[in-house]
Amino acid sequence: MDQTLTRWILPLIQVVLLVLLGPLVTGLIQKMKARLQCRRGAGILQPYRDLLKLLRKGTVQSDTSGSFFRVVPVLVLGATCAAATLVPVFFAPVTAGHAALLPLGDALLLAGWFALARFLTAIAALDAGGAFGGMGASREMTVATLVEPALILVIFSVAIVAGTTDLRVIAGHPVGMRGSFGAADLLALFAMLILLLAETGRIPVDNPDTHLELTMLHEGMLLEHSGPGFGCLVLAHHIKQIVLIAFVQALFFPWKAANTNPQALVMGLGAFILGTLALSVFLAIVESTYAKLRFFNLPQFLSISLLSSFLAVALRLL
Amino acid sequence: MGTRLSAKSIQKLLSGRMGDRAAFLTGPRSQDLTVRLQQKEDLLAAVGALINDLGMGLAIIVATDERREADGDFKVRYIFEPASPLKGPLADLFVTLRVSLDPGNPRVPSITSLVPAANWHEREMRDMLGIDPEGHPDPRSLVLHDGWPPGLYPLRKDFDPKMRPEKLSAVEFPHLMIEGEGVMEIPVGPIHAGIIEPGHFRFSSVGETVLHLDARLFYAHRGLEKRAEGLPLDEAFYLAERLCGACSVANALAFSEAVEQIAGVTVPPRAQCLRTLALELERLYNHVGDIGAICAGVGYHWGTSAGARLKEELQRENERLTGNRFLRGMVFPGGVRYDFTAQQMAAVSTITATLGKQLEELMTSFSYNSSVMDRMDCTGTLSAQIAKDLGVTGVTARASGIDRDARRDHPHAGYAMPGAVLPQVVTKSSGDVQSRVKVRVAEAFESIRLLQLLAKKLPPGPFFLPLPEVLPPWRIGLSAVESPRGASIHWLRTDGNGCVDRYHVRSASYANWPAVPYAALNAIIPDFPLVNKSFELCYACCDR
Repeated sequence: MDQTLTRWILPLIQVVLLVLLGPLVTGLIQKMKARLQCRRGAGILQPYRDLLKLLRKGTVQSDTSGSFFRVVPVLVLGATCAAATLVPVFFAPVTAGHAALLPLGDALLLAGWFALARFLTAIAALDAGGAFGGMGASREMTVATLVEPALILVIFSVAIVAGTTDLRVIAGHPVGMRGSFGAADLLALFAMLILLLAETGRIPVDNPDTHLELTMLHEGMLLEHSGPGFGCLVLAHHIKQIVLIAFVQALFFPWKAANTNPQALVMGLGAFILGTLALSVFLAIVESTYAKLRFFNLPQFLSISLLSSFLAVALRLL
Repeated sequence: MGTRLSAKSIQKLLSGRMGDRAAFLTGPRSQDLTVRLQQKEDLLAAVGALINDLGMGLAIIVATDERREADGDFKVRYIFEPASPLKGPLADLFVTLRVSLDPGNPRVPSITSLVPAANWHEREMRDMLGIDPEGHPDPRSLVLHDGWPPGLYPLRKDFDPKMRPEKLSAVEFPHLMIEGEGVMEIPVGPIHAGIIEPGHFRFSSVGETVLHLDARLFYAHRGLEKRAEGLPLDEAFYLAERLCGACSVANALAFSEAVEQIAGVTVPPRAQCLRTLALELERLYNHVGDIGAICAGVGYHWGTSAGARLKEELQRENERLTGNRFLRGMVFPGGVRYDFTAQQMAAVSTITATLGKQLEELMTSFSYNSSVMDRMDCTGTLSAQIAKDLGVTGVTARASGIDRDARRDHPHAGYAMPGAVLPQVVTKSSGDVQSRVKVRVAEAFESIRLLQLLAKKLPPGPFFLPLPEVLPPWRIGLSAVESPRGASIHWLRTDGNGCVDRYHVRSASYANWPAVPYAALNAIIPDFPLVNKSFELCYACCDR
């Protein structure tokens, strides 16, 4: 019974939680941004309403695109959900080790699932034949080449201490529960926060609220999609955001339930909620106080992340 | 060139060159000069003298179909204004060169290679009246779009505006494109994602670098000039006021001043001052809204919201003052429709003072935010030379170092009154987005200053002067008004019944649109929306 609970039921609850709460985090950030701009803003449930609206709509497809184009949104959503299985939300058994967990994959696979989703989105954008899709795809890929190495280095900097790249083990590892932050942790966290902005498509890297097609990165790739397919891609983006937020917490603030004790589970969930709120506030504040960077200045900005994650790894090894 | 230009000195120069092949008259206004060229071949020499020897610039070109009148011809009037020295003030003067063309085969030498600013005017004249500017470098149509039957000229008098021409099968418009390895073509519009007006932009680019931009407008062409023909002036006024939304007061005022010139009346001082007040209120809400729009262009959300909020407050005040958010219905030929009470004047004082403080706050957070300033610095640079060649006007011209403002150079409304407070003309030299924003900000504060001064002391007296029932026939009125986007020039001629014979407008946007592709060359593709917003041009009053 206990085995079923730790191996199947709790991980499943965690994935469902991430999928269901993804839009809520977006709604929360939008609401906070609105308040910071002295606006009232839409309710925090607006992303759910938008998704329902999209699911009810018909689909219009570009003449040049093939049937692959129609499948892509589902594949992207699938890849993102698969990534969601790899991050612990509130439960990470300390003593369990690898044996107690389903062999789903590690943090590198998480980066891989995201890369796959990005690749599929870009391919579909090119397939549609529109100029904006092509521009968006080209820009997104440019950003990805800078983001992905930094992400891997951030993972390594923590994995070196934990001795594994499995996030569920890292989050449950006794060393992971470290009380104090070292310089390496700070550098890696700093790098990760920049990556969080880039990967969630937020200012200063991308502007999620713009209608200006010529400036778009992520949104540009989605322009040719419509109806339920577009809904899948939007949902995938919501999930990606909350997975990344959970990822940051698993690496740096791993206050998770170590066993199935209900009290520990509630504490773990509470810690996750607090951590998510804190990171949402961070995203909202950055987005309200900064302008988007010039596109050609992005490499400079993202290389800060690359450099500090590299330093974090170097400090660990030295 | 050092001395101030006057009709006399220009006449002296031209009569020296043309001899007796040119007749000189005064008009349309008392200080202006009209030159009737007997041979159209003399046009280039005359234009060359005005441009090169006197440093004048093109204001507007008006072509008319006068085949049913005594002369039985087509006429083209090339109207120039002083443009040099770059540092103003300039003489308030218009010089009209008039040529008469063969009614059967109207051709005229193109002046575009001498005066690049004439490009669109000549193409429009070819589209709308079938007058061929011989030697024009661009053979493509401008106003008429694909599928319009060739040989059908909407502004000729024998064209029935009620006719619905058959739409022919269209060939794709020959956009100027760049070919080569890695050169991509990016079509944008005419339908855009945001709620903006229609316009098609064709970029040729390598990666994110813009090689060439071909902008195609006139999707919003409503045939307002044709519609105005034959209408009594008080009815045509409503068309003028509705050329576009954002410059309603400026266009209404320019039309009214043209009508008043024709009627030969002088509007009472109180009306003049109320007109200035409306004009400055319009400039203020536009500039404040534009600053917010720039923030949207760089993705600075806080500034976008703040700008939108301030603009909304101003527009609500507009509605309280005049019953219309766009200040429509205030200015009217003969004066203004309403007088402002002392209470309303006090309200103007209060709201502009509050707004000044709020704008200052916005600008502080704006200019100390390095991420915002960096986006605008050196983006979309328009050189002074190009700005001068294309006859760019308004904020755009001043940001490129051209010291020109119709409020000072062609005084109108209250600025023409003796002892009037004139605005300080602000110029910047670098011509980038940042300069255009800075000029706008400075002008917004200048408008606040003017509004406060006006609200304090308004001359007493009537605010309206009834115009004569029937206006004199065959008269021309010409006026230039500084709208929030630059000088809007209106040319109006009455027919035998005192109704509109021909009405032609060169809006500020019409003058500035051709400069946008040049500014885009100094930007990358993702910065184009920002560059475009820094010009903040209007499609409606350009397309008419």
